[in-house]
Amino acid sequence: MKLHPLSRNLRRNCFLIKLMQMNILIDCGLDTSYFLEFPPRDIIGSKAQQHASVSVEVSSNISDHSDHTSSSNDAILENKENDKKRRKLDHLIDSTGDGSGGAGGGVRRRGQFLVETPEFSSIDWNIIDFIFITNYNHMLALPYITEYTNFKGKIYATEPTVLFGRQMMKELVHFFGDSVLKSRTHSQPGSTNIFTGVTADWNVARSLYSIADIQSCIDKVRPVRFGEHLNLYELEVTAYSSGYCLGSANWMIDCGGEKISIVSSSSTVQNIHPLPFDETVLNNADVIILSDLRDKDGARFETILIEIGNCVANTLKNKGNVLFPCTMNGIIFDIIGFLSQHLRAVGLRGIPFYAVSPIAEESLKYSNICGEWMCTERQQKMYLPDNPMHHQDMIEQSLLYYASRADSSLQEKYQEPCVVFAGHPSLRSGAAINFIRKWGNNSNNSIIFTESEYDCEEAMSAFEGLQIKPIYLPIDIRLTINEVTNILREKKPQHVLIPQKIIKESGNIRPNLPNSFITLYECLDIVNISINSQFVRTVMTENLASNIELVNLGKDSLIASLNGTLNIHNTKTSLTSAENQLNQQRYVCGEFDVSKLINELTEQIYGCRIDEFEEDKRNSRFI
Amino acid sequence: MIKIIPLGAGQDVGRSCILISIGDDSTGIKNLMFDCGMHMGYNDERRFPDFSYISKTNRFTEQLDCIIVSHFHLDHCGALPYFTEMCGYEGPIFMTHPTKAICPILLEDYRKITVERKGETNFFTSQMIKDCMKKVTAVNLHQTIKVNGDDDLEIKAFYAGHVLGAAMFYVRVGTQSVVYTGDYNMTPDRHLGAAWIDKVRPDLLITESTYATTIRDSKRTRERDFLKKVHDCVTQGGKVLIPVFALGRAQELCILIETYWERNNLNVPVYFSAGMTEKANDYYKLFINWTNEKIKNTFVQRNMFDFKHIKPWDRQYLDLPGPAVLFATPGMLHIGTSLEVFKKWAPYPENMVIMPGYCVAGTVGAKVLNGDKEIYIDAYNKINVKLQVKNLSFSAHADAKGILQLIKQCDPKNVMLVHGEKAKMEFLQEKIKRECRIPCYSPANGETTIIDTPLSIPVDVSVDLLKRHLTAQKLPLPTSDDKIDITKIKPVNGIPIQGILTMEPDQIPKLMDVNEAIRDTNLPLRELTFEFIKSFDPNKIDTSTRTDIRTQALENVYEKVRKALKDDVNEVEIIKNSSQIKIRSMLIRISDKNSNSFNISWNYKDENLANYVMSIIDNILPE
Repeated sequence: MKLHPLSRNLRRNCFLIKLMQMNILIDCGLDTSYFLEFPPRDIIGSKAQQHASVSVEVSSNISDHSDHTSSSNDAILENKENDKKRRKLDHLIDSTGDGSGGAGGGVRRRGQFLVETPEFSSIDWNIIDFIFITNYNHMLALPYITEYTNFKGKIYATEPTVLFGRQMMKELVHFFGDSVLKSRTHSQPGSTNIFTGVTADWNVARSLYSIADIQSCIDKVRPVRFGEHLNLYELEVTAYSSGYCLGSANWMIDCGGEKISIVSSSSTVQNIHPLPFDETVLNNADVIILSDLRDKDGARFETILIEIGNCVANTLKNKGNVLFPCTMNGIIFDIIGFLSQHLRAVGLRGIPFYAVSPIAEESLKYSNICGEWMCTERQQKMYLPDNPMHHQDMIEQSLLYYASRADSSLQEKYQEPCVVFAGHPSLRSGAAINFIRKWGNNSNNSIIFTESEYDCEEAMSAFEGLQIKPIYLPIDIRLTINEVTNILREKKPQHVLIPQKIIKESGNIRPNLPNSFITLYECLDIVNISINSQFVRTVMTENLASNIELVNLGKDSLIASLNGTLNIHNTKTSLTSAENQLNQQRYVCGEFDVSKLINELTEQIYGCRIDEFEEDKRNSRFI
Repeated sequence: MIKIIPLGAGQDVGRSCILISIGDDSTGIKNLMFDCGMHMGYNDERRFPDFSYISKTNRFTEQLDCIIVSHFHLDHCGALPYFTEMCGYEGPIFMTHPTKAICPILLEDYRKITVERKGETNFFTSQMIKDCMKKVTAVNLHQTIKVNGDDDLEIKAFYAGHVLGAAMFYVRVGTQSVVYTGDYNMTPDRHLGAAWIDKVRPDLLITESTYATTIRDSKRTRERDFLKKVHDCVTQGGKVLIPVFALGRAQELCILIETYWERNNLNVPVYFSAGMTEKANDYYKLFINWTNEKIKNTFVQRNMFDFKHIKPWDRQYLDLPGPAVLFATPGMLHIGTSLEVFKKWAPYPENMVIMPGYCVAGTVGAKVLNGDKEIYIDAYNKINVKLQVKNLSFSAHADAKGILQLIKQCDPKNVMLVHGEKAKMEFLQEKIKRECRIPCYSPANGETTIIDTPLSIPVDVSVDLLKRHLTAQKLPLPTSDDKIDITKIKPVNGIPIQGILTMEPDQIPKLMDVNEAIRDTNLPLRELTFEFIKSFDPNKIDTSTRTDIRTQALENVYEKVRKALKDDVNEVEIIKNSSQIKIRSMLIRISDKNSNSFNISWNYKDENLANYVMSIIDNILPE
């Protein structure tokens, strides 16, 4: 087995696995952390995101502001290690700006955000057989593969992953998509430079795909359920719940009895909405590939939740408003449910919540029908039938409103003080910017960062001199390396693969896993793991078995020559009786007493038949 | 061997309960119960299956490995609380999530009618229903469940379409397998998709056969028919009673009426009886993933189960004048609102009753369908039936075509018919035997059927060996004079395979290449070559031309052997030149000495082939 990690960003998985002559891609995450390097796409009072021309106007409106940004950025980031990367990116943006922005040298072309795909340049897409997706956070680069390469394999993801993956892609394109691309209809593979990268030396930074690409891509994904065994040639592949978000999976690949577990974003935090982490995926595993681990310990989830509750309550009591910059899925569902109860408990009744995102309605409504993918407690509610998601009750009681953007449709129901959940958490696009502008100059208002993905200070650095109170309470429910090793200790896997960046040195971890061979991997490594998957399980019929002549080798070991027919039905093999006995091959092995043979022969008349040799089985064996 | 005893639904509709024993020496015998239903036609002890078949001493938990419930209809789950709480079965029970949610509602409803209205005692209580449901494990479609953690007993659910959450179950014990369909529908309807099962090739398919002899016209025609009848009746001022069960057909017909009313701008009131309608629709809203794709994809914009025209029924509407449409429960007119309203409306010829489903013999519904003009509800109460009676087959059962379609889809080795009327079953049974050429059974209740299953022995095949045989196999190439017949090109199946089988105690036999076997067993392989001088009588050689007699003899041998081998072993290559013939390791050449003889040699491994060729040579070259 070979493992080839392709993603630089630890939070965005992408692995190529070679196994039994099959090529499997696990996940294809899209690195969006560069968004922070760009000035915000300001959309106040216009539908800039809809029109290419407007985005240029907007850019001139806020040009003085962006000067602030760059100077302050320089100051902050002088000593940061990714400074070099940033300059490279700056250079890149300048060069693209020259070509299409028409605003002259040195001025960045506004409205075009770049993203980073995994390192795809070395992949021959023709030979990739399967893609398995662990959860919707790790699939956003999928349209590049399905729409712009000659990939012909099959893609598997759980039902909610398909649903929410599509929403996440849609949201991304709405917020950051290139307006030029948006108007483009679905394109033929290879017909555009979207996939070839923007420049030769930076071949992973790309512009975003289009809305049309998303649907076409999602249509190619086959939805599966947890515990559904997929029989794919010699492999049996199964998804198990990882407890991180709705439909989040860890995959177990079983090839001829050798088990490879792929552990992606997983969580053992109690009392959150997803179906809990299923340890079955680790049982009897020979190889465990760990990814998307949390790199630092943080406060307990419950503690942060209460802290968030208090901050919100205090702000509201001071007649302030609260803004949560977030994506409309995952842990935010728990936060909404918790806040609603918390506020009622502290006597703040009837405070309206607003979810503002292009996917808010879809996301809120779809999550409520995914009861089977939730923890037992919520399943029980579904059986009653009650809404398993508290936010659905809030919608029905007019306590929670959704809108796709901050425009007149929201205005009708809008009333302050309120709590707003709005994208994008990087504060570079989306309705969150509208609310920052609206509430920015009042220190009674708060902005609460709960997402751990984007650096909050950097996100806020684009907005200088605001009075609004920023509160950093990032929630990260992923497993830490210590939590994982505690679970793995009893499972005693042969091999454990851990991302290098997480633990730096394997010495730290080895004492905790004395029975396992530990390998650290880095992006673009090629890790070779020898696994002895030399056998495939099949069955033979009674008829065939009854015609086999077994020869005893001593110690109860038996051996026989087998002549049969190999049948394949639906990738399942079976052995039945041979149609022709003449194909049967016979062998002589072991010690061979030649003198005895000669003696026997001389006793026989000329023209002896071979059958008679077989009577002598004492010293050699005819099989 | 598989043993089946129907405790209910054998040559009958109602009280579905089928026991099967399946397994062999290696897996042990597993006992399962498919469905645990009650009979609507009886009010005495015959309404429940006779569980004493399983154990005379009430030791059900020891005797049964699990119960599988296909869907929430009472004739499939009605006896469950009785069996678990009053008979004491404590083992596992499996059903889908929607079934688990809805089943207790229907059980409670049934209990209320039986105990509170009919005053029966010694019946299960509400608490018993709750306790019973706690023992149920909910399963997802396609999820493979290992019952009791047993590797040899696996179950897997497939979508059955019949009602919300209905499933077919595939059960595998070792290498034997059974599919139980429950009730299913092979054509999608307004709210559910069509049943689907993989080609699982079970040893036995147990299928329902409610509509064994019917082939229904298209759904569209039936819908139009239904709407026309309703519309005609209400325009003439009549009242339409449609007896339905609260969940299932009711929703389909409501969607139908709702859209028709909307399209035609009708304002005749439509009512739905039973307090649980609201609740029923809530279930549909939460389990939207189990309805059809269209409803699922549009539910964010418009939930199909939010009805605008259909209002809840109130008893005081009973005497209101003017036209109305009423959906009333239960569907067989045996009790409840539907019977109450029927009594009131039956004497007037302008009214109409539409029976959209199947009625169990003995119920008022069955009598109405039978055309009875005077119906006794009990000893004292008689109804004069003057209203119009229409029967429209909206039951979501597969018709004869659908049943045959399912048989083809899953490709079983045996079929058993249950859940149907005896005479109809016999007809279908013959049809299946004739058209599918597989044995078909239709046992009565309590009758044991034994089906022999071929024993299959698991074998581990070396991947190398498998690959070599798979790649060596080529599609037959058309010869120059043949035209390529596309219809005859199909995947290669039945590939001849040779290898060495090794068996160690307590291990699965391994099949491998001879070289792998030699390496593993440490037995050196011996080459054993046989050489034989075959002389023949030149006078007996048939020569037409004046060629060398030996060359002619060789030519004769070549022709005969080639012909024989072409017939018998098509993949053996025969090479001939002027003085010799080569068949695998076998060499037939003209002797060097000037005698009339051949030198024939071969390796022991081709012993079988050599023997065969020798017998041909002996025949054509007499000494």
